[in-house]
Amino acid sequence: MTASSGYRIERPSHTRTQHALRILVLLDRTGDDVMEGDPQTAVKAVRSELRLQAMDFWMRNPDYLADEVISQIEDKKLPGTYLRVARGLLEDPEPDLRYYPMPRWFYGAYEAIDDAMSLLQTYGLAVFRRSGEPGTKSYRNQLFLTAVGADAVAELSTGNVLSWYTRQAELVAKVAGETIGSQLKDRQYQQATYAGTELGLQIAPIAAYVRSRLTGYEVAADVDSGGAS
Amino acid sequence: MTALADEIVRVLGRRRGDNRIILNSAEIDDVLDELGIPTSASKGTPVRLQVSRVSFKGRKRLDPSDPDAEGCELEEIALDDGQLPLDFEIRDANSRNVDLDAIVSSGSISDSSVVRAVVPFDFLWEPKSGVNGVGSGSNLRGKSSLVNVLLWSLSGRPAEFSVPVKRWIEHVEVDWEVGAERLRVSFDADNGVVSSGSVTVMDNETPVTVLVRFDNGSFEDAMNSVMANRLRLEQFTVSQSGKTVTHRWASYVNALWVRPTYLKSIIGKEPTLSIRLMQMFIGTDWVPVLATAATVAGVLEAEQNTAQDRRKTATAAVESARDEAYKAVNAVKAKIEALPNNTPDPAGLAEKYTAISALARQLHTLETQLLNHSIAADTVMQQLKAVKARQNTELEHALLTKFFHQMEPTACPRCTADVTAARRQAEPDEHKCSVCTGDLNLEALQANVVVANSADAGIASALVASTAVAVIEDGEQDVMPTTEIEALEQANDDVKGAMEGIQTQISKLQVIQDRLVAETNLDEGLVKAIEDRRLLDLDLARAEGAADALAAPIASMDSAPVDPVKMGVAEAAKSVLSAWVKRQQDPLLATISEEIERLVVSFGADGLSNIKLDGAANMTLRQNGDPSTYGAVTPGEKLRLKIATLIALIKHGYVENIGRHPGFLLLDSPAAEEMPDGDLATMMSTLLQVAQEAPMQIIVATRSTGPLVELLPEENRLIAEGGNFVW
Repeated sequence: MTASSGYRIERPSHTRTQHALRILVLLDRTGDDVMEGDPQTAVKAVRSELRLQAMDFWMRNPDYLADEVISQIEDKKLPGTYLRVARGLLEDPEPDLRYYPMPRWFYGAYEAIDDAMSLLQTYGLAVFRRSGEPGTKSYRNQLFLTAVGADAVAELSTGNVLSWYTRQAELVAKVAGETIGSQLKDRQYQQATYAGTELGLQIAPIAAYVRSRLTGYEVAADVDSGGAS
Repeated sequence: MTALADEIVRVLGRRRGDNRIILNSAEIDDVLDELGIPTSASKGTPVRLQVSRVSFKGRKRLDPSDPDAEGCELEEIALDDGQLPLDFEIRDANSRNVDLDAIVSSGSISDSSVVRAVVPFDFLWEPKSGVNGVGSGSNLRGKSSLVNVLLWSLSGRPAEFSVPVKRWIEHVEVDWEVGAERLRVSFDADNGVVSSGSVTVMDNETPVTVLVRFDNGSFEDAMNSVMANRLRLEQFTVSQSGKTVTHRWASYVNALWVRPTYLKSIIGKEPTLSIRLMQMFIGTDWVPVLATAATVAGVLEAEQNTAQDRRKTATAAVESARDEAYKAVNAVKAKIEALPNNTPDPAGLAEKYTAISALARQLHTLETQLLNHSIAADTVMQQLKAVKARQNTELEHALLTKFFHQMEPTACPRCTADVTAARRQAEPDEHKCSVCTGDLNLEALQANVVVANSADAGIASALVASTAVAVIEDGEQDVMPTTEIEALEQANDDVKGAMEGIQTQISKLQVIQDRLVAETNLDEGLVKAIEDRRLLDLDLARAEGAADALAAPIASMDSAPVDPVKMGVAEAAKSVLSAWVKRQQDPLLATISEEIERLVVSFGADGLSNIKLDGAANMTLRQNGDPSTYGAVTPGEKLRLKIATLIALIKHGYVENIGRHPGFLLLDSPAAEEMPDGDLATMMSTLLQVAQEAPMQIIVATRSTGPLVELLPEENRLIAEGGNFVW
């Protein structure tokens, strides 16, 4: 039996350092190889802020990530064993500890990354490049991970608390694959609640929906495996 | 106190049980008085009645061709007046059709009327004491009309005249000798309707006193008042079908004539009156009282029987209804027995349904509690998650702050200018930010926290404080007091414990409910059987209720509308008087019976013997040796027995000087069919002999004129020779 208390519990807001950390690990785990013309210090690149915002949304909203995992299991893009991963995203305490809802803007979930990127750039962990004119198609923000940043990620991935970020970024990388930012946004738009959220409001959770969806798959999976559990 | 009352006291005192009635003689007298039963009686002594003169006149309507009609005026009579030329117009009984045919063919009769000659007549006859004979060579010569005129004047009742005779007679005068008095009954008649009537005491031919005047409606009453008292023939009552019927003088008159057409009753015209007439004529004392007492007792008994019948009917109806009710109960029980053996008891089933319903309510209550707890649990959980998330955020922020502080700035995030070694050195030495060269908070810097001097003091102190926490990235430490978390976890545990408790209760109740539901979840056949059983139980309750209602003893209804005291006294009076009358009458009846037998044998019925007239006016006898009764013998024998009985009664009265028969007797056409001339002569001889033994007047009307002429003096006979008319 589930029930709703009818009022929202005040969740904490993430800090600039946490935002910076998520960008850093996402650059490390999902970044592409650098190319000629990229900053000399760069070792990996995320060439679309849209893609970064989409992946950060999954980092911060484990229920949406679980829903995407289920969809990809359904589409055979992920093996059935990932049902357990989806269950973990919904039930384990750790994703919930890092659940930070995002506001929705014209391009979907969006939160300015300037402060977080400043912090990373100050310490030479990442480089931010703008190109093109704002409002045109050529307008693009590219994010680069430096070697120092890669080292920092390596260091952070050894800690008990912060290593969760690198593991979660790896899962996001697997789910996002090579998909470009706009397509990721499209997939997130398909998630009804997300799309239905008014501009500027925090995107509501869909945990209850995903939980029931997951349960259905687990039962089906149980039947497929002869009921063993 | 009377002898009758004394005897009734003794009779009632002998009764036993509920029937016993204890009254003294005076009280009995009162009751007898109330019931109208006289308490004294006297013996009857005969008073003689005979006719001394009979006269009637009027106008006959005869065929104009009749010799008597010669010179008479003619009259046309409409046929629709109902006037037909019968009786006297028919000259020969053996050729009736001749005259009728002749009349029609002569043209003297049309389709609508006949012409008749109006012939006046004035008849007078003065019968004598003893035996008188009225004879005519042929029938239909006025003999019976004469008898009828006598009976009419005696009883006051219309006589059985033929239609023409009724029309012809216009005035009647008959002188009756009653004891020592001569009474003239005189009246006019118009087609049988009497007017200007009177009874007058005569001294020979001289009127002395008019006793009573009458018209058609009061004629019978007038004759009753004149005759009954004089002849001591009191009115008597008979109980017929529970009703008291009073009989007066006219009923006695019916015992003064004998006709072959009325032989059903041995005395009088109607069998129901024969016993009373016989008792009155025999004349023993108490007879009139007995008659009254018997009538009263009969009426009371009839009333009681009616009441008992009503009660029986009601009782029978209730018993019948009760039997039907029991049958209905048994029928329903049989139907219940016939239901399938495994039919659950509807009452038990109803209890289970009730239990299921109660369980459903309990489950609903518990589930509501569970829902409320679940909401509380969710709230607690959300709070716990939020608190933990906040704690984690602070922890991670602290870790990251420390992590970033360990690094050295390398470039300005704004302009990407390199942070030089000189600038980095300036931070501890000159307290300037190596990136923006702004002044640093010295106090924070001493705590190894780089924060601008211009930054809000609160932010600076918070940053300093955060670094004071032992932030070691091994996750082993508790970075903040956990009171809030513990409290929430405790609350979470409590609410989950409560939910488990509720869930346990729900599970237990659910098991019970499931079991009951399974027990009450019946297949269609059983469901129908249960419904049948339920309906039959209702039927049974109704049927048993009806039977119970009828099982009570039937309340005694208004079962005694008749006063038992009156009833008892009347019955006792009847019983006592019957015994008294019987005691006196039986020896007289034996004598009378012997006389009847002697007479009847002398009348020519010598095959009859052992004649016994009993107190109930029943006659037994032997017919050629075989036992028989009055009712079983031939009409001729009945005629002889009836005449013999009346003669015996008359003779008994005069011989014993006890009795009330007035000694007047009319024998109308005794030779009609059953009495040959020889027998008639024998009977006439006997009558003449008897008339000498006792004073009496007997008028014999017969077409056998031979014996009359042969045996009677001329003054005692009125004979129409050949085809002539008597009048």
